[in-house]
Amino acid sequence: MKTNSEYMLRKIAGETILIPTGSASQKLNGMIRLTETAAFIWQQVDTASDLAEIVERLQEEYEVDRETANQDVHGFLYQLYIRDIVRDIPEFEENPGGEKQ
Amino acid sequence: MKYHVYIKIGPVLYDICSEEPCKVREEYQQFVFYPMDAGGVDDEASSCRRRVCCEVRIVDRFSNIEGDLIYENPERMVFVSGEREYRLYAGVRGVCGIYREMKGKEDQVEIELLRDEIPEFEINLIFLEMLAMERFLLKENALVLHSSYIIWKGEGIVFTAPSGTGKSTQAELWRRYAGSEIINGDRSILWWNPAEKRFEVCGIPFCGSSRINRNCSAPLRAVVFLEQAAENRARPCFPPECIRKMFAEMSINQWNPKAVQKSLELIENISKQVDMVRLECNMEPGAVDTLRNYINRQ
Repeated sequence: MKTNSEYMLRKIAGETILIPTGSASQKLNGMIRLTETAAFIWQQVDTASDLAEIVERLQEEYEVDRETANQDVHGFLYQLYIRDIVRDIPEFEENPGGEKQ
Repeated sequence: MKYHVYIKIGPVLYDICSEEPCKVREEYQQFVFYPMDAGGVDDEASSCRRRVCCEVRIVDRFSNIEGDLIYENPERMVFVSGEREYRLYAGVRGVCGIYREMKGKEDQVEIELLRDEIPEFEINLIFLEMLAMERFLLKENALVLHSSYIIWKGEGIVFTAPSGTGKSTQAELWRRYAGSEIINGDRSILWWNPAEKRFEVCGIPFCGSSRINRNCSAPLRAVVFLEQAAENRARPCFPPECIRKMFAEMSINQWNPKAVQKSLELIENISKQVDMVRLECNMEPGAVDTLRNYINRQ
């Protein structure tokens, strides 16, 4: 599981944004605004071994129940996965929550 | 024998050198200087921070380009090799010109024009696009903003918004009802002038369909974000909103991560030093009063 290194995470005036660079800027020009939770999830992707680990870390950090954390992690990362912003997530390859676009 | 002309874009001076003389389209004359101008180019050059040498060749066949294709749209393809860029520009039938940066020479570029596509060397829109201005401007802490640009009482005001919102309409209202001069109807250069320690706004040849592109600079008084509305209303536009809005309307080489990073830092600085105004406006003279009252109160 890894983030697409062409996406830059930056904090601007208290807001966290993702900016596509390199060939990714071809597909998406501009920036993506992240909520605090989304930014936290993004930052776990390169070091966590699977989605369950990110769910655990999210629960530790924000004291949310397992179901909510699970929905946040799967929902957000699936949206990024189908846009090639995060890669190599076996859970989505084997059991996609929908068709890969 | 080599012919030289000089093109001055904000803080950057291009020294254009070729074996064939070039014509200059009337609408770009204000940005072009010749070696024989009285006082001439030395005066102009001394006010520029960076001099870029650009050798132009009219060729029957392009020489090779290197690097990996990183960006492509109908107008151009960008190849990157290390820190250097190559660009291919589309003409009517195919590639009409190539822009090439030189190894180990930061401010030296080559442009090849294909004889079949471009029968005579002319400073025109497509040639100006081949100069990769945003790349050299950024090295001097300057950014190109999609905006109309007026000078009012010696200071620059830029109106920015997505196309069709009314940038040139507001500029025209200010010309008519506030005695402002319109410098450009579609683009401007925002530049940190290190000598004056302030942001300034400069003219640029590109002007969309507005046909107004004068070469004038002024201290930057305000960046105004336009929104169409029935009633006129002005208020401050705070970060991060103003940063997002500026980023969206800047010409940024988004394929280049370093350029993105530097542009963001610069935009953040602009938002700290210059008035950021959100103007909900209609197309009536009252829009001028609303903004003028707001600016005068600051």
